[in-house]
Amino acid sequence: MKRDYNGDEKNYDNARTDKQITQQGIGQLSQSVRRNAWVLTVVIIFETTRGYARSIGRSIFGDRLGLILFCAALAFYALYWRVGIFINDTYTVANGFVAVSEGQLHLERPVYGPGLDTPGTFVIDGVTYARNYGQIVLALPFLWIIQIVDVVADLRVALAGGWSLLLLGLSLMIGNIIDQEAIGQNSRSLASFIGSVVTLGIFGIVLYGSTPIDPVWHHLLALQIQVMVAAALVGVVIYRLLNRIHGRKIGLAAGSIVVFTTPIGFWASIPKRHVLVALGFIVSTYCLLRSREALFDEPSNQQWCFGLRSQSITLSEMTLWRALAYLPVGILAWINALEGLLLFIALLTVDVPTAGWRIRSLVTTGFACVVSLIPMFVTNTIISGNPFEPPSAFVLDGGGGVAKQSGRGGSTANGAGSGTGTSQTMDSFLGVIHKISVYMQDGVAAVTTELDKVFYTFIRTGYVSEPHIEDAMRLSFLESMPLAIVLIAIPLGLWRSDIYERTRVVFNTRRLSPAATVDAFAIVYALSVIFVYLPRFPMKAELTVRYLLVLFPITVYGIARISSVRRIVLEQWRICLGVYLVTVLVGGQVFFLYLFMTDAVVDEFMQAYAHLGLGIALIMSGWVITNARGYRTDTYGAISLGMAAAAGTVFILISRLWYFSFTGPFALPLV
Amino acid sequence: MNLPRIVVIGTIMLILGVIIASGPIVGLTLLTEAEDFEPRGGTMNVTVVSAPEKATLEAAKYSVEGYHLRAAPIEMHIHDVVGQPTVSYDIIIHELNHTRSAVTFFDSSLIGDYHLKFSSTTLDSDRINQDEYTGILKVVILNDEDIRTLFVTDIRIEVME
Repeated sequence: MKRDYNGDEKNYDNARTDKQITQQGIGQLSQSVRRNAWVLTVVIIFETTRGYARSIGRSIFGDRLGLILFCAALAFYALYWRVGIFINDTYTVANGFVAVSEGQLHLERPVYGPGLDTPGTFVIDGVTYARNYGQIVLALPFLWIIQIVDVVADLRVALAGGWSLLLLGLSLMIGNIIDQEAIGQNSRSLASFIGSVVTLGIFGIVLYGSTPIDPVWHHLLALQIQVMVAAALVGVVIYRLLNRIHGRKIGLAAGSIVVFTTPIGFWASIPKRHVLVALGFIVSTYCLLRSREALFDEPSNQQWCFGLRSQSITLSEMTLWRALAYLPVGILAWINALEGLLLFIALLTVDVPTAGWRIRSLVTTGFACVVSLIPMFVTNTIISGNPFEPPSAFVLDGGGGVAKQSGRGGSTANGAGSGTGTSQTMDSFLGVIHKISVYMQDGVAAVTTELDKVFYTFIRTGYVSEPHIEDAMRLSFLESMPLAIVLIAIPLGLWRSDIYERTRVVFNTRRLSPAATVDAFAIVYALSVIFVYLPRFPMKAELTVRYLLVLFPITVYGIARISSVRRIVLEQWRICLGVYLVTVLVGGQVFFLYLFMTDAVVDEFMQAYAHLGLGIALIMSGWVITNARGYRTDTYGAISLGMAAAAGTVFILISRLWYFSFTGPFALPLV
Repeated sequence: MNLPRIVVIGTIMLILGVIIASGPIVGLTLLTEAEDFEPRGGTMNVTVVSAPEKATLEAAKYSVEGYHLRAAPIEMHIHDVVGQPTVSYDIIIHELNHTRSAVTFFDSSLIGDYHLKFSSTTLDSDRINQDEYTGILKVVILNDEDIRTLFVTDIRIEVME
C-alpha cells in the first residue's frame, strides 16, 4: 500500500479503484473502499496532528527562528549537563519531587542526600515539607516522559539519540533558512549531509564507554530538563518580544545573547528557581506588550492612558493578553510567594495606570490573577491550613522562615489560635503586605546609604569576608556579564536628550507606547528585585548574583533598546559574529590554557575571569562614551560587543565543563 | 526522493532504531555495564616510582585571600588491582595543625603507570607566618579492613608570595 500522504498518491489510489470496479466487480470494491478509508483516516490523523503541532509550535516559538533558537539553546546546555547536586538545597527540591510523584507533599524518605534535614526543608507538627512546590509539580510531565522512555529504551541511549536528532534538526533548519535568505546556494543539501554525519558521529561518541543511568536519578533529571527548557524559552520569548519591537535580527541577536552568553546559560540544568522566575517575568512582559499593541490597534481608543472610562466591548484581544500577563504571577507565587508578589507589584504599578480604567478588562485580569493563584492557595492550605501562609516564601537564603514560625507556634497551622479562620487569613495576608513593604524600605535605604554593597554587588565583588561567608567564588553583576556596561549609554543618552520635553509629552498625551510600557515595567520590576535582595547580600553560593538572575535578560532587553547598539548589530553583524567566534574558540582556549598552566583553583578562576570581564567592560565602555559624544566608532563597537558577549560564553563553558565538575558526571559524555 | 532526503531519513531511522533496540523489546547491549561503586572494597599491588620533595604554600592570586597548598603528582606503577581500592595522598603539616587528604578511587582499568594527583587546599593568610614548614607526605591504601601505608617521607613546604 502506498504510504505517502500527498495528494498525488490519493488520486492514484482513486484511479485504481475505478479500474477495479469495472474489472473485478462489487466484492472487491468494498475491500478497496476499506483500504482507502484506512489511508484517508491515517492522512486525516497525520494532517490534524501536524496542524495542532504547528499551531502549538507557533504559539510557543513564534516562527522558525524561535524554534531554531530553542533547539540551539537546548543543544548547548546539553553539552555541559552534569547529573548531580550542585547546591545542597537541591536535595530538598528533589526529595520533594519524589514525594509529590508518589502522591504526597510531605517528605518521608531521603532519596537524595544524607537525610531529610537538608537546607530549605521545614517542619510543621513534626512533618517535614520541601519547598518550591510549583517548580516540583510543573516538572512532573518531564518525569513522566523520562519514565515512559525508560520503559521502551535505555535512557542514556535515548538521551544521546535525542541530542543527536536535535543537532540534525538544527542543521536542517539553518540550511533551509540560509537557502531561503539566498545567503548560500545548496545550503539545504550541504546541511543534510554535514548534519547527518555530525549527528551519527556524536551519537556514537556519546554511546562509546557510557554506562546506563541509575533510575534513582530520574527525578533529578526531570528537574534539570525543566530548567533547561525554561532557560531556552527565556531566549525565545526575548526574541519574540524584541522581534515585535525592533524586528527579527535584533530579536534573534538578543535571544542568542541571553541563552549563550549570560548566566542564564550557567544556571541552565541546575534546578534552582531563578531561571523559572526569569521565564515568568519575560512571559508576563511579552503578554503586556501584546496587550498594549492590541490597545493601540483599537480605533476607538485615541485617548486611553490615565483615561477614566469603561467601554462596553466584548472580551478584546487587549484584555486577553492583559489577563495572560498576570498568569505568571500565580505560577511564580507557587514556586516562591515572594517572587510572585514582586511580579504582581510591578504589574500593578505599570499596567493598571497605563491601560485605562476599563472595568471589564480589569475584572477579567483580576479573575485571571486569582485563578493563577489557586494552586498556591491549595498547597498552602494543605500544608499550613491557611491559603495566605506560604511555607517558605520569605526565606531569602534558605532555612524555614515563616513556616517554622507557624510550626513552632502551632496556632496558624492547627487553626487553634485565638482568632477565627477568617481573621487569621486576613492577618496572614496583611502580614505578607507588611513584610514586603519592610523589604522595600530596607532596599531603598541600602541603595541610598550602603554604597559599598551596591558597588560589590554590581561592579566588583572580589574576596568576601563576612561572619558567615568567606570566599572569592563569586562574581558581581558586571563581572558576570561584561556586556552590561552598555547600559550606561542610557543615562548618557538621556542626558543629551531633552528628558523634560519627553516626559511632558507623555503626560500631555496621556499615553505610553507599547514599547515604553514594557520599558517602564522592566524598570519597576528590576528595582523591586534589587530593593528586596540587595540588603541581604552577600549570601552563600551566589556565584553570579543568582538572586538577581532575572536582571540579565532585562539588561539584554535594555541594551537592545539602545539605537546605536541596534545600528551596530544590523550593519556590523558580520564583525560582531566573527569576533565572538574567534574569542570563544581561540581566546577561550588560551584563557583555559593559562588557568591550567598556573594550576588555578576554582576561586582563582572566578576572580581571574572577573578581572578579564572588567577589562573587556572597560574596552566596551570606551565605545559607549565615544558614541555618546557623537563619534561614529561602529567597528570598535562591533569588536567590543563581540568580545563582551564571548566572555560570557567562555565563562559558562570553562566553569561548567571543568571547574564545577564536582557536580557529577556528564549526562551526555563526549569525552 | 533526492539523495539528501534519503541520507537524513536514513540517519533518523538508524538512531530511532538503535534507541528502540536498546530497550527491553530487543535488549541490545550498547553501553558499558557500570560497576557498583564500592570504595574501599579492594586492594592493589603498586610501586611508587617518584614522589615530590617539596610542596608549596602559594599566596592566592587575583585578589583571592589565603594560601593554596599544592604538590606535584606522585608517579606510580600499578601492577594489579583487586576490587575498588581507595588511595589517599596525604600531606600533614604539624606546625599548622593541618592535614590534607586527596582521595582517588581505583579499579582494574587503571593498571600501568599512573600519576596520583594532589588536590589543593586553602589556608587562611593569618596562619602563615614562616617562610618554610616541614611536613609529611604519605600515600595510604584504604580498604574496609585496614589502612596500609604505601609510602611515607618528610617533605619541605615552601611558602611563596
